[in-house]
Amino acid sequence: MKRLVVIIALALSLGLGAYVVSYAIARCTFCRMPDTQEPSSWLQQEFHLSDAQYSQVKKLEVDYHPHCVEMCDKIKQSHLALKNLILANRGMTPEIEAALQKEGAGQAQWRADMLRHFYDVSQAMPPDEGKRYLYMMEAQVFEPTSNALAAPH
Amino acid sequence: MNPEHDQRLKALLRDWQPKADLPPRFESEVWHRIALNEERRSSWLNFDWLLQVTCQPRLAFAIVAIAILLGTGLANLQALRSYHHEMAASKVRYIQSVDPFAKTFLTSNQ
Repeated sequence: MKRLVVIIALALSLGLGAYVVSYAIARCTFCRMPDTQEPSSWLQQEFHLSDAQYSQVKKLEVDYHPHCVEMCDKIKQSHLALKNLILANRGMTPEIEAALQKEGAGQAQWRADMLRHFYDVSQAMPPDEGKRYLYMMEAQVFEPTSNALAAPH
Repeated sequence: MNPEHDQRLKALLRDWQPKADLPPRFESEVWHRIALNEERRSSWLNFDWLLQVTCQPRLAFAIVAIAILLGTGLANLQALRSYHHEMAASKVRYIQSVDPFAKTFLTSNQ
């Protein structure tokens, strides 16, 4: 009976030890997690970028970010103005039409800017990876919220 | 077969008395062992089989090796699952960081 207990205890402890060690090795090697504080670190992992390529991409991101924030504010203001106009009226008015046109023009502008940024980033990547990146990102140009809302569960 | 030989053989067998020294309580011991064996066979869920298995070094080693392999396999599977989950979350974070519409939409809906 003692022998049985010893062997089971040994199997359990070695199995658990193997789990802990293998998990740590996997997380340090082929399952390395991207930096959660740095959104663009995902690019380096996903598209296998070298340090030089990643720093170039990072520079592009840094240059693009203020513009993105500015666009974000413009879109917010435009949405709010349109929303207020829609709720303030009981029918279609020239003001609403003008606000809709402004909204459309704003959307076309940010789409063009975003696409320009995607092209710049893809050119900083190896050709095949750049192509894959563009393929992944073009959905954002057509359906902006599709990927952003598809958070994993 | 010769009937005379047959009768002689029968007479010989009748007279034959084997002289074997059996241990004391031999018969009851045999029945006891049979009963014990029947009992063990009928209730293998009492882990006696495990006791027997662990008495054999090869099988005991196999149990330990299987535990290690299972631990390693499960760890790799779990690491891969977390990795894919984290990569999907990172992709969403990246898109939110570059797409002003996604950023606006998400913040205005929170």
